[in-house]
Amino acid sequence: MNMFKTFKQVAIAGCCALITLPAIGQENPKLSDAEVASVAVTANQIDISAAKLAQKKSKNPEITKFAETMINDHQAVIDQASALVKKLGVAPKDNDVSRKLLADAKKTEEALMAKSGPEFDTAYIENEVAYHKAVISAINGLLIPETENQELKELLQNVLPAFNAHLEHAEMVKKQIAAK
Amino acid sequence: MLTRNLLLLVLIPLFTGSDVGVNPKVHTVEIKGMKFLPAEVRVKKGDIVLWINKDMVVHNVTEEKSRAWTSQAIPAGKSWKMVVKQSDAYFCTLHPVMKGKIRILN
Repeated sequence: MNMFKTFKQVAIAGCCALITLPAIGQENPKLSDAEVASVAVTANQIDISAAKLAQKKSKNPEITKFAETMINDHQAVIDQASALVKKLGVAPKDNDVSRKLLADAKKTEEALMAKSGPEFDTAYIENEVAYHKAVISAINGLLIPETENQELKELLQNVLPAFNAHLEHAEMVKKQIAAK
Repeated sequence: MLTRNLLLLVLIPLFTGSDVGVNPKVHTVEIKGMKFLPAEVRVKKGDIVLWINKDMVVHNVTEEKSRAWTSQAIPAGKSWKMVVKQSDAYFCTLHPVMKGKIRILN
């Protein structure tokens, strides 16, 4: 098994964790609003970290521009979420889902670190496609249904269009890279 | 009577034959949910298009074919306006899936 296949399996396993979690337990894990906030912030932080790595390692302007947008947009979501939890007096609380996200992200980052050049670019953008699909699925299938506070629910609903645009953008960049 | 005729002589050219209308209409495009709403605005040459960013992320408005004009960054909650000179397709360079059109009505 070559490194690329290994990475893909790690990335897919890691990034799809949120999608598969409800299926494993037959029903969604029970999350409080403080835990939902933690998962939301963690998911955004993970994509910012991956984008910062891409800015360091990639020389492809399509990748570095995409990464810059990811850093700015996901930071904007974190800022909104942080302002809201402060207003609500809720402190984001670590939980199994956020811990699993971080553990999987660490594996993905290690796999990305081992790559360079076009191989890194392909691996990064494929991970972005898979990750955004997983996060969109988790927001719809887990986070929104688990959220009780209406303002937090609305924030999650409001970030979906941005994540969908990121997914389309990532797919566009993936095609551009494959065509070269 | 003489004063009135002189006034008409001064004012009539202002209302005819000029590319820029005397009372340009302002057409508002909301940037919301990662879309330009409406996606197409139909305007007269010289009208003004005002883009208001109602998203939580930064956007821009840039001519699509050759990047002939751009708003630069429009932060969340801010706006940018432009006098329309010609029909153009535009997009957001930060989120290239977001596209819009300005169409000049004859």
